[in-house]
Amino acid sequence: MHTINERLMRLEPQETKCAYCEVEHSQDMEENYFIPLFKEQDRTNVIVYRSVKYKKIPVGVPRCQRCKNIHESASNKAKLYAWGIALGVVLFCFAVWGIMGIFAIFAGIFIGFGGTHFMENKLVRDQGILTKLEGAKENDTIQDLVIHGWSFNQPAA
Amino acid sequence: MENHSSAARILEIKESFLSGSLSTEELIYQLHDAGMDANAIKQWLSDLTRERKRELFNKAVNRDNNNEIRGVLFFITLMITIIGPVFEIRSAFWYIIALLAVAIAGYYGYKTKPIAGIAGMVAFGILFPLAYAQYFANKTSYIRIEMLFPIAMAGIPAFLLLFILSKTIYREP
Repeated sequence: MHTINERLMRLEPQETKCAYCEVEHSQDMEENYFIPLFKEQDRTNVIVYRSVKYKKIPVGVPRCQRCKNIHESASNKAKLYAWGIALGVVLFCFAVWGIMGIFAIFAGIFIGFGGTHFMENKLVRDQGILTKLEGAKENDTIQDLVIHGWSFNQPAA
Repeated sequence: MENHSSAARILEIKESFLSGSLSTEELIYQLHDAGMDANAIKQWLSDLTRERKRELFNKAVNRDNNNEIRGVLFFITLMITIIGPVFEIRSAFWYIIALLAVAIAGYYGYKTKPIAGIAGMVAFGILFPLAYAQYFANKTSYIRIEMLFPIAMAGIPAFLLLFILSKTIYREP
């Protein structure tokens, strides 16, 4: 069950049992994880002009303080490791190939974003809890919203 | 013996319900008559509802993810296909690699209809260089937006091929 917080424009969970470890309870509303859901409202595609209008609402998933700390710590570590490796690869390519190393920037961007995602999920799972998205997918309200056309992905023009 | 026949009857009733030939009310009534406990009926219906909801949810999430992947792969296909003619690459090796890449993009972009996906993308990969050469053959100047003409000349038949194959080879779920 969720209630609408009109001031913050979000759906806040009434349940407090953590969806990530299923052991502890959320003590404060800000400990919960708010995942944004999107719904496309209008789309215009006229060859060179493309636009999309959509609704967005953050939906709360109950989360305890311990799981919040794990998620945040994993996210920070993953960003640091992945972008560190990406920078290393780019610098190495510049050192070996000179100016042609510019192409390694694309590989670096891929390693940075992809590596962050992969490492964050691995670090969270290693602690024995669900990732932010996995926990959200177990939530009844979120399941109902997705079945009725809402999406985890932001619509692209 | 009686227990066995009762269990078989319960299974039969459940299968009738799952095939859609029984309403929920009739199901509860018949399961109760066949000797199934009220709590067990409630639990079975609750599990079934949860399972169905999960299936619908997974289907919606997969559809979203597939659409997103398809968009990205289509953009990659477009870029790979355009590079050859625009940069006047003459090497046959490049076009073989480009066709292989667009075939892979077609497979992953249309995982539920891979033959249609591969055929459509490869058709675009073959037609675009030809359309580009044909359109710009006798031109000495052009504006950038004209690039859309060869894209359309290759894209429309490729899309039609993809559409026809996806409708004829694969049955809609």
